[in-house]
Amino acid sequence: MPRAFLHWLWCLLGPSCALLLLAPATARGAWVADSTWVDHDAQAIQRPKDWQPSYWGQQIRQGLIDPVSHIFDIPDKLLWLARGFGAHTQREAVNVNAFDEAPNSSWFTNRNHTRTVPVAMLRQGPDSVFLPAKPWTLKHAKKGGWSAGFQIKDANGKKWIVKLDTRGHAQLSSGADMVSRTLLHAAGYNVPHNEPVRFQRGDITIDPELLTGEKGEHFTPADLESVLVRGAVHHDGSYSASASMFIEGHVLGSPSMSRLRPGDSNDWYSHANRRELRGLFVLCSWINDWDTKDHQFLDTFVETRDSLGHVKHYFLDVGSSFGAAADGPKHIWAGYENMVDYAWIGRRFVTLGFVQEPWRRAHQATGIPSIGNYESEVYRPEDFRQMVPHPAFREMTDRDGYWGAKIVASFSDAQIAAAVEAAHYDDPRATEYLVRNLIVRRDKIARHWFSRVAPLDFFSVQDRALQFHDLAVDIGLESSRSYHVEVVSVDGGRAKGKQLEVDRAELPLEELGSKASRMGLRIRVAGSSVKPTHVELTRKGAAWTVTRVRHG
Amino acid sequence: MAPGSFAESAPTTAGPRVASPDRERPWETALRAPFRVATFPLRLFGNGLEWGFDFVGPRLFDPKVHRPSPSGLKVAPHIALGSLTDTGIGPAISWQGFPTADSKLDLSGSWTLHDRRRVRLTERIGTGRPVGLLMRADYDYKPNRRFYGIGNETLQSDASYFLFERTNADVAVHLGGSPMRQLRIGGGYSHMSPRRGYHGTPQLEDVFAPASVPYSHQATSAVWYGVSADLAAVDEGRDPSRGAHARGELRRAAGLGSGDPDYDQWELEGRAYIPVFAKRRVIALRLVHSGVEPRSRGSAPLPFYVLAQSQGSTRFAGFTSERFRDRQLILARMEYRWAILYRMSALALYERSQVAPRASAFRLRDSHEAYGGGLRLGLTDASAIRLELAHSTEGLHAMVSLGGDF
Repeated sequence: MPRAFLHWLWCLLGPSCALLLLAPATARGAWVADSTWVDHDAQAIQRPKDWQPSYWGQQIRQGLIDPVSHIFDIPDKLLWLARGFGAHTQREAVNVNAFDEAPNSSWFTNRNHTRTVPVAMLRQGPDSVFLPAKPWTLKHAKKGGWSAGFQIKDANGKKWIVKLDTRGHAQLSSGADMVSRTLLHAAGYNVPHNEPVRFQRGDITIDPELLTGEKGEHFTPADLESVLVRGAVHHDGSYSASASMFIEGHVLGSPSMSRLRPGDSNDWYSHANRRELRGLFVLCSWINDWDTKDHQFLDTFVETRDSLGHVKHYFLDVGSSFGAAADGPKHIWAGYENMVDYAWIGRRFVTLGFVQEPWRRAHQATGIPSIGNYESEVYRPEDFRQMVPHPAFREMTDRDGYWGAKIVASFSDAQIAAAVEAAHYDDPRATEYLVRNLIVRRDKIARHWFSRVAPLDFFSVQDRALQFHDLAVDIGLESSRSYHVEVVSVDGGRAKGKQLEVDRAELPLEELGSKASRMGLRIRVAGSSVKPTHVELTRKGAAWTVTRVRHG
Repeated sequence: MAPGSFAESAPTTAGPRVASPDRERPWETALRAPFRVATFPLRLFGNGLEWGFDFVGPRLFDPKVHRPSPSGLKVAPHIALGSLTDTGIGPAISWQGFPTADSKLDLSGSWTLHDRRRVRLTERIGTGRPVGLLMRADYDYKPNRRFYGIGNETLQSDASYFLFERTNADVAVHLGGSPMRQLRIGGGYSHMSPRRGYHGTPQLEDVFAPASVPYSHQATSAVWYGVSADLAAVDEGRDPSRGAHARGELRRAAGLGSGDPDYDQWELEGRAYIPVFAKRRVIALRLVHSGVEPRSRGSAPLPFYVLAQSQGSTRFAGFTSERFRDRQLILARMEYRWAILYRMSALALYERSQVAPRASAFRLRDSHEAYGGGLRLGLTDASAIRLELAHSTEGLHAMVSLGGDF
């Protein structure tokens, strides 16, 4: 090997190896238990400084620069090649407990997939149903975002942001927002209290300080008219809008998906490696929430005692879902390709424009003004794309996808119908169309991800048998089927292997290793090449306990 | 763990974390580190781009409260785009509502590193209305205009430079609210003066004999009147895929000085757009014929600087700007455009173009051939950004144009 090459290699690798050796073994002393169902990440801290990634810089970074750098990421290509030789080079989500679940945290709370949310509770969303009481006092013009609107204080002194539906499309964005936030909350995410509202011009009084411009901001009745003229109007002359109540706590700003929040010592998993953010891809794919940039999330500081508190993370502004965008029906490509999608640009360029994109084949125009462009026929769950690529979605593995699909599949037809009914669409076609398409999409999602990873879950030991659920059977995608199990039992340091077939979701443990102290199971769906589920059991006295589950 | 076997538990209570702080895998860091070092300059460039957009984004792209443009005077910086050394900066003054509510006055000036000086005054009254008025006054001083000689077979090696100073003032009444279907009637005054230039060598007089360049050092003044019109029937103004567009301009100029010639000028243009089975694939055709003729056959030769020349919207693909000039110019172009991104199309082009002293001298075999490709971004009904790379007998030439509407 030429000496110059060795010299070059030493110059480049030497410092990085030295840095690795010098790096401290642990950054922060921590009490870690991977069997926990609660990731205690809301410990009392001082309020971090307000900070959020800049809007336009982040759009350019994630929309244009990062995709190019991924194309030329040579280590990535090497790792991809290594996967062809059986190496497991993909990084799995970090905040996953021993049972392959994302524990409750300040980002996420396990809800519908672990304990069915009753329909009445699901309708309520994050709290009880209440609307901003009239009359409203307009306090500020709306800053940022593409929809027209303003900030108000209602008759009860509560602060809200009011966002108008686009002219000609009453309930388009407000309806999408209501249905999406209801489903996302039931799924486990923190969402704000949003409600679709109707109001008349006479319900609004402009704050006298705004009228005079005493405190710098000036807003006149003419300005209000110029906002209202962009808004959608119902048949009775009232305006159609979405009202979002101010979130509890001090607003810190949007989190970055590419870095941790400065000053928050609880925030110690890279956001792109969080299970609930990676798995969110599947939920967004379901509801076609194509706008998932960093600024659709919000962090607040909730003070608990003595100026100490914790950061709570919200997913908000989900009005750009289903067939809606902030300024009318969504572009027909939204949800099918990124705004600047180099892969599709390349395909179109090379084929002289003769390639047929899926969104051209999809019949998205529903003809229902309050739904916009939404379909389920051409939809493929894995091909869902956001306006700007999301760093966590890029890191998603089959395990994360399965986790997201498990949540989507946990929604029953009745729950979906309840979520859609919560939007109170005037047009009965809208309710029927949305429910039908959400059900079709849900089933497509379940079929796709459950055919990549064996959907065997919720393992427990009862009556000396390992019992589990086959989610594909539970939701009626498959009829009851048999399973192929490879067992490795450890008895006093000696491992013994065994294979068996079972025709139901139950394994008698005594037959597998009566004297063993530990047992590892690899369970496949018989006759299928779907990735198996791995289960570890440990004996405590006479009883077996499930100590670890991994899917795929 | 069975479904529903645990309740909603809050992370605010004391308890363990599910995993240690997240850090990149050591072997992955070791693998990536050399590449991170090697690509550091690129990442620096990326960061610069990000910071640049952080700065301009909120100023240019953020949605604002929709308010009618306030009346009154506004002063802002002005950038006159051109090549790297020909991009000018200066002030711009606009006055919305002067002198009537539906009118606007614009005054801008710019100066470039090569001492090009431009001043433009425009007054528009009734824009977008069925009847309106446009008044303009321009001053353009450029010390390094290019000249290659007159005719279709001039040599690239004869490139030379001269100073050209031009003052125009005109007024036009337009009939028709849309610029796509409009008739304009107007007249004006122009003064043109060529001189020995600077910021470019060799100079015109160092390459060409004075007799071969009519009016090489002689200024002329003229008043003119004329008519121009646009008539378009296209499916969409910004990115047309079906339809046709005709444009014409006729001018009659009368010299003011004793040696100043009288002449007629014209530019006729036809465009056609044919979809190839879909709106996103289009064959676009463009044919331009422009020319200038003295009013009487016996009159003095025409100044070289009023001849039809290949520049601006009539620049020949694959050649430098101002490469050819003569009394008549013809340009035929065919493009195949296909959409690759929202409002952006890729294009493949084929062009044949020629200048000649008279219409009967046009010959297909003598025309200049060019082919190439590029990108087109439609901005508005009347403007697009084009980036072209075309090959001709004089090699590969890139061109960026802003504001053209083809």
